[in-house]
Amino acid sequence: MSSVKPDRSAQDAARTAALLEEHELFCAEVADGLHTLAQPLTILRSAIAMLARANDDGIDGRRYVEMSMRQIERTCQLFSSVQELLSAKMVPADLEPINIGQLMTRIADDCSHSLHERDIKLAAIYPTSLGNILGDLQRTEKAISAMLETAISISSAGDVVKVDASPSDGFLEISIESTCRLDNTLKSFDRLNLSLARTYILSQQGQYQFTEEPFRISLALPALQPESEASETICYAACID
Amino acid sequence: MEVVACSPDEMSDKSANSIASTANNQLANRKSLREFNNSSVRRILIVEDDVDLAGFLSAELEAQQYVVDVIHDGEAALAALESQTQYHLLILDLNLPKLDGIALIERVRPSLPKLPMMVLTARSGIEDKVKAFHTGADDCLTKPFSLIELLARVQALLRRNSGLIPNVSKVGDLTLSREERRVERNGRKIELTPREFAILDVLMRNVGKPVSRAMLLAEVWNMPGEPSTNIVDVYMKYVRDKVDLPGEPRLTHTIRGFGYELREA
Repeated sequence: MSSVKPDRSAQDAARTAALLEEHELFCAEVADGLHTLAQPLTILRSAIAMLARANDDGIDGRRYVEMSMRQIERTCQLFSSVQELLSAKMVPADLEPINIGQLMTRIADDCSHSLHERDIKLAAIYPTSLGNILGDLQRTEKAISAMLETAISISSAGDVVKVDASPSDGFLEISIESTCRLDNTLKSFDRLNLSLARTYILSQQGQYQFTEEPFRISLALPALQPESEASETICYAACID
Repeated sequence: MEVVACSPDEMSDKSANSIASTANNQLANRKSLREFNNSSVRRILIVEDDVDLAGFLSAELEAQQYVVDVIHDGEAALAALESQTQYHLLILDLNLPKLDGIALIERVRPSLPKLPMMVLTARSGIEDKVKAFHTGADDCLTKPFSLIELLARVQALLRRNSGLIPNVSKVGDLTLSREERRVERNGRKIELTPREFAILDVLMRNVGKPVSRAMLLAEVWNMPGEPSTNIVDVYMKYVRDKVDLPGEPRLTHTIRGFGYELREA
């Protein structure tokens, strides 16, 4: 009995430390999101003051109006992301079986326009019976979309974004990689998007990993089907030019 | 370590050469610093990772006749500040990719003790600002700020470092006001782009003296002499077309094979 107590307290301490670390990371991510919001707000605040001046000086202020409209859109988008980040932390996930193969195909199709526009190739290869995962459909879709959008955002013309999925230890792991040059840096909006993806995945008892160089993001969510059902047949293989 | 054997005579020659070379270098550095300080072309480096904000600030500062370079990460900014380009002001965000703003100031401050540095930050905590000031920042502005305040602070920082350049220069009926970035001839307001203003300013500071194309290229474009480019001549034509209208006495003169001169006929 006496040997169990220290183990438990050590486990508790480790758990508390992990929770504290996660809490600190989350606070930093929210702060980063608010920092990102300060950018369009600075332009808006300045542009509106300049617009008032332009009217007084008889200068054409249309440039400031157009700029303000763009920045209002951007502010709303960022505000919504920060709000979602907080809500993902506070509201529990709504777990249900999700056909992950179908979901990934839909997300890849949604991205095809921006891939084509930016001359980036998508190589998505995964087996037929990926089966179902247990997750929150909306959060999983948003997380995978955010990961893919970030990979596209950081890539340049001619780069390839690779999407891979495979079962592993009761989880289904999805990874997204880009062949982009190492000196491409994440923009503040990308960082916020990835924070959102991470929070969505962790809120569903999933796992999330990100490395910037080489650029690779992976998530793992609990699989519902046994791994043996997975076959080697390719169900979705895309290479969109 | 390389060891070179030499006689006492050789040694004294070497010492004398070394002293002369050091003195020459110091003179050259002093001359270059004086020329830099006397130049009223104000070159500003903006280091900001938000592309929209950097673009906005750059456009507005250029509209105020400053010459502006924009860089989006700390490492590239460090390389720019360690290069030959000389800046009159550094405006930098604290939250930068690759090398953050505080680290950038720490690296740059020892070699550029007089460069005014303005920090932009969305971190409203007093500790961050105090840290920035302790590291070597001269001013700090919290986002979201108003451009009008930034412009006033930029003027104040540059004025503090402006040395002996007079605010107003005159040649005949042509007047150039540096702080107001205004040019007038006989009461006629002349609208110049930042580059055109910079060219005229260099000529105004050298009234009655020929200014070479290479000097204009160095002062206005911060480029070493590149004889194959005709950019100076192209811009000089723009300046001339605006300054010397038909019927007015000519103030801008071409010095064939060399450059230009500003003088009363």
